[in-house]
Amino acid sequence: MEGIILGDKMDKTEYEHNEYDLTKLIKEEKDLPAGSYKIGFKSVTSRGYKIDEWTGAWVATALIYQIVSGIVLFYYYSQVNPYASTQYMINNVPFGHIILTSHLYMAYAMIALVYFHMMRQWFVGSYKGKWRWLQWILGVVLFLLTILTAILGYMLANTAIAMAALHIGILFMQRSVLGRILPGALINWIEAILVGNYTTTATFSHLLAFHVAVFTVLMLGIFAVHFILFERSGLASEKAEKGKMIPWFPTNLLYATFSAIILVGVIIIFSAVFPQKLLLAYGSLEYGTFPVPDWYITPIYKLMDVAGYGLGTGGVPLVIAIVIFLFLIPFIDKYHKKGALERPWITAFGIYFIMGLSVMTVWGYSQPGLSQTRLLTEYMWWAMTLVTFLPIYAMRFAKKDGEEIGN
Amino acid sequence: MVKKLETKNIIYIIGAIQLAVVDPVMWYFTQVNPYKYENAWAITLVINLFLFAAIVFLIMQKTIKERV
Amino acid sequence: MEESKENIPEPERRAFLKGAGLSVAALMIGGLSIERFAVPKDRSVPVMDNFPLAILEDPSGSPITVSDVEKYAATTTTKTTPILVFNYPLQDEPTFLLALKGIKITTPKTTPSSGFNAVSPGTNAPMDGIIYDSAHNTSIIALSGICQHLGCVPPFLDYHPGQNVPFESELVGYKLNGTGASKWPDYGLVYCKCHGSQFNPVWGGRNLYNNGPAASPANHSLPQIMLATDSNGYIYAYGINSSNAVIRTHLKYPGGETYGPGVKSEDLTGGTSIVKSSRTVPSSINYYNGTSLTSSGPTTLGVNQISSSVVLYKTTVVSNSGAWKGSF
Repeated sequence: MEGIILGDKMDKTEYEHNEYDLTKLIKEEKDLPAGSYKIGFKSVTSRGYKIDEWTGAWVATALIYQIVSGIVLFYYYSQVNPYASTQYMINNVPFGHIILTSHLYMAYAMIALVYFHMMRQWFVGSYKGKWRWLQWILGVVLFLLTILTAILGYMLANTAIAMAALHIGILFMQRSVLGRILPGALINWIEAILVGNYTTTATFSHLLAFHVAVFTVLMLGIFAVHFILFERSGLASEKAEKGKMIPWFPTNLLYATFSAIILVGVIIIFSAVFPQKLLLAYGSLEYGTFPVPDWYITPIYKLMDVAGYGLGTGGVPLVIAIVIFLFLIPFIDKYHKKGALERPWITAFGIYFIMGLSVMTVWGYSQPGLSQTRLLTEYMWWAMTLVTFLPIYAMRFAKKDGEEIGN
Repeated sequence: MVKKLETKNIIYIIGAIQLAVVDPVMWYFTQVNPYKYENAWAITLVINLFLFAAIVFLIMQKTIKERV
Repeated sequence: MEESKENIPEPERRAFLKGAGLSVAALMIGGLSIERFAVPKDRSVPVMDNFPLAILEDPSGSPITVSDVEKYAATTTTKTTPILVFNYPLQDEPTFLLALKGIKITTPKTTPSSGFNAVSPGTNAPMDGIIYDSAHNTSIIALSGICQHLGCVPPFLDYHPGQNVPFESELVGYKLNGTGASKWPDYGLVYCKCHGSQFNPVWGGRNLYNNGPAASPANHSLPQIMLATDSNGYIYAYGINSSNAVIRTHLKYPGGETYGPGVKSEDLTGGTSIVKSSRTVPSSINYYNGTSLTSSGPTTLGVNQISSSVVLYKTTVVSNSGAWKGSF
């Protein structure tokens, strides 16, 4: 349909075709001489060394750093005394405070970089062709796993706000659409996986297992496939050109090492200068506290307040719809060209997504847990729709105009 | 007339036994009286695994004959 | 070298693959029965048979008395009052201990439907399960500190007295000296800062407050924990008001939102029991049964009738300030 509106013809398409035959994935590339081994990864042209091609490498760096620092923290964490053991890490373990803080800040960085990575592919349109559709879908799974693992890690310290989040999560499963649609036994089972018999020790043992093992292993495994698919499909933005390829070793390796060192360095400097302050312990009483969760949770938290129609009918289905949309983008996007302005409504929606996320984050941070009137939220959504879609379409028409004049 | 069973049919029969006999027994052990038959459950799990191994062996028969 | 499996004729190979697939599927279906592993044996097994009889103690271990609690009583002119919290019926299940001076929390004739003064104090008998000190005209009431919306606990769920409008309530339109719906009630509200649920402690067991400028997202009142005293003035918690709601985290699903008889038999699963006390069980305790003060063992719930065979538990009252400073 878009093709007709935009006057594009099928033969004008810039996209490669999606590959759905998985057996092709197993076949080894044929461009190597017989009997030779392949050392290193795919070579790229100089286009591949532009900074925006490296968003994934940063996320991978963050993942590796989280695993290494997490293993170190694991030596000292105790699920019997979660809060006290966290305090022990800060006060009594050599370099404990800086490692714990860097684990937190790298988690923040990882989530921010996952968003950055995702939105970059969104605007560039590199989710179609060959195995890229599958790579995108696995990427969305990794995105969800990253957020879930972060939330679990945030719960592990047994702070008051973290336990509020846990209780809300459990009751939410029982009471929201999930709990009402799925059979009670299944919800009970999911709850048992999460908290066992709900004693403090059982709860934190379960959360710990999910945080350090289940989700992390899943993430590593899916990341491996995500990366192999990338190696198979190559960069979306370039075509392989004979003679212009820069071998993977050593340029790419050095580049990757260098960017990793910079990221880790920045995080460690921040951890040293702004060490983390442990929040109020669960069970403490303090007058005038506010339930402000970590910043990556506030958008969802606020969305529940401002979806306008209550949790079950507004917030939850909306979040589920957004996730489904993310999964399906490679198939929803029917445009034949790749540029951001060549795919106006996808681009506009991407900007809408970023804007909504930022507004919800800041709003959730400043006014957590406050029901908003339906009128106010409707104004907000429509205003955001207007300021995203209008300029994008205007710019697109301007571009088309310019091209026609140029012709 | 005794007709010799083809390998593929033996494979199907074993698979069907796994599905129709061993699986229900495993589920019976964990669901109908939970916690009581855990050891028996472990044994049925091994039986299930052995049946799977038997199928793998039947499939690989020719390869094994040629190679070993 | 050519793989020998390439020599297998095509139809048979396909059949082999189908067979292997069938077998793997069977193995997985059987293996899934291990899902029981995720559910511990003691999940959904009550850690206590029924609501315990528990004596309220201060952090040093000595019993608190009615007059101790009255020191923290809030009046209509109170700006801040310490949060008093004890765990009941299980550990990690905070309950507010509120003392309100100058009001008798009474049994309502009907469920209050509008206004913040629907229960006019004075005419009816004190509500069952509260402690009413007529000499000082002070009511002591215990309300579950687990929000009926999504389970937030203190300090996010918090009692704000009459002269203390929390920031978030102001944002939804409450005013200290407002009129009509925007008026912050005389004795304030138990306000949940997670999602804005409101509960009016003056209404006793039926405390869900939907009369302000913004509605409560919760749809049930905070459960009322029953209180009694003995001749020493010690305070005991002995159950839950069955005309009220179930503690939020004890909901049984589906259809867990029970009032009435279902409340007293709610199962006490998922947690750790509170600690047994080494004190002797009092020979009699005084409590309001909805009409008058009585001392012949609370039978209204069918549990914990006072006798020598009753097990006495203890629970610690903690506060954010003062002598009882601590965490629950």
